[in-house]
Amino acid sequence: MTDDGFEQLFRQEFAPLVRALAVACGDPRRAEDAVQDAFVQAHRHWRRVRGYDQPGAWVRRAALHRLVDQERSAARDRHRRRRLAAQPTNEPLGHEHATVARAELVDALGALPERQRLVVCLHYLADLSVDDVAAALEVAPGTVKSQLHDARSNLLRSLEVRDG
Amino acid sequence: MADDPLAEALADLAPDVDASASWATTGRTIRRRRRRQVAGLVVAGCLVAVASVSVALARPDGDGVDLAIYVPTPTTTPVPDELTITCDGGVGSLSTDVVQTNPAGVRVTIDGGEAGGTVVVVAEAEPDDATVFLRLAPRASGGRPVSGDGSSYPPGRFEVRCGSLEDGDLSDSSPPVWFEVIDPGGNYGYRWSEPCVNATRTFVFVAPDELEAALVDTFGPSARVVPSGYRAASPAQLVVLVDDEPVGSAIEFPDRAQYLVMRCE
Repeated sequence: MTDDGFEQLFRQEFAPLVRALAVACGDPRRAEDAVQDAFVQAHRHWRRVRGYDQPGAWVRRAALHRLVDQERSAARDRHRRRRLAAQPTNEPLGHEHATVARAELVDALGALPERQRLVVCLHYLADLSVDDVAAALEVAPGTVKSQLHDARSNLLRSLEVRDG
Repeated sequence: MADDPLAEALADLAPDVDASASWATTGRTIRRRRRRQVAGLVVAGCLVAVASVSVALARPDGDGVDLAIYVPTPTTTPVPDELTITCDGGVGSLSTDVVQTNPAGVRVTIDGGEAGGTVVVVAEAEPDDATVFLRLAPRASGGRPVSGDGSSYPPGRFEVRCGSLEDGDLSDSSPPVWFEVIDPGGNYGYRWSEPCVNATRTFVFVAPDELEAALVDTFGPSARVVPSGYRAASPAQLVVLVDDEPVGSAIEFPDRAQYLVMRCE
């Protein structure tokens, strides 16, 4: 693949987008599939996509569509998030407090409406600005701001409960 | 956001992602899909391709043949909101570089050409999961296959083959089918061979991954296309079966003409 700029876009966008969607949907594999599909799709239309002001925004939208199009089951997602919470992290093994805290945060994430969950994950994990999140979700920036505010309040509450 | 406790807590949940390894995987997927996308039809040694399919015709007498490709307004959803058809290549007097965009119901006529020439017809649909119908037929006037100058096709068989196109070569091709000009001067003076679907004389080309078997074996034992509820005067519905199990939705056709059906994925 020698397509001009495609690899650069991939290396720039792939990892943060997968990380954000993995937390949002609770399934890293599903997130990776969705993002990879989006890039495969982008490659097919690369002549056109690379002409856009923000090819990355196109890929993000495509990945989100893929993710949302996949079969959704709230119960299954919750189960996956719990599994994610139980997975080892960089923290020392046996760190029970951390594991409980992760589970609580995962539960709090799971309790959010899907759109809020996506907003918060794209903003904090993919490091997208409010405008970029709005473009990815095809909503107004004001909507993202209010959803971000609500999601943040809910999640911080869960963190405070855990710390308290 | 570095000092934001929420950002830190969320980052702790996110998995590590190795972009380099993923890049290699994605590259393989792209190359695999690219091979799939150029699978197509070959007629009498000539090749035409469609975004995912290709067609070409050559007359048995060695002259070129005129080919009409119709993209009727789809009767199923999702309907493509953007459709680009590109004809490229060819030899002789074949017109090339024909591009039409947004043609819900377009007819592309390829004029001229010589036997053995190669024509690539690419149809790209947006959104990707749109269903596109391509009707492949000899150029016709009043149902009679005619060349661009109005002359009739010569009697003979025109082969059509399905397969994968790689580096200009057709591989994994299906057994050839053909249409035969049996009455050059008369209406409907041609017919399609078995094993095209008898009643509807329909080609079905299905591109999604899960239907790859149906693509490769369009006319094979494990995949078949079944007219469902077909009546001569009413729209036909086709169902793709793989291992006797219906795959995907029924596809409805507005009439009983020849169709090449492509579902972009």
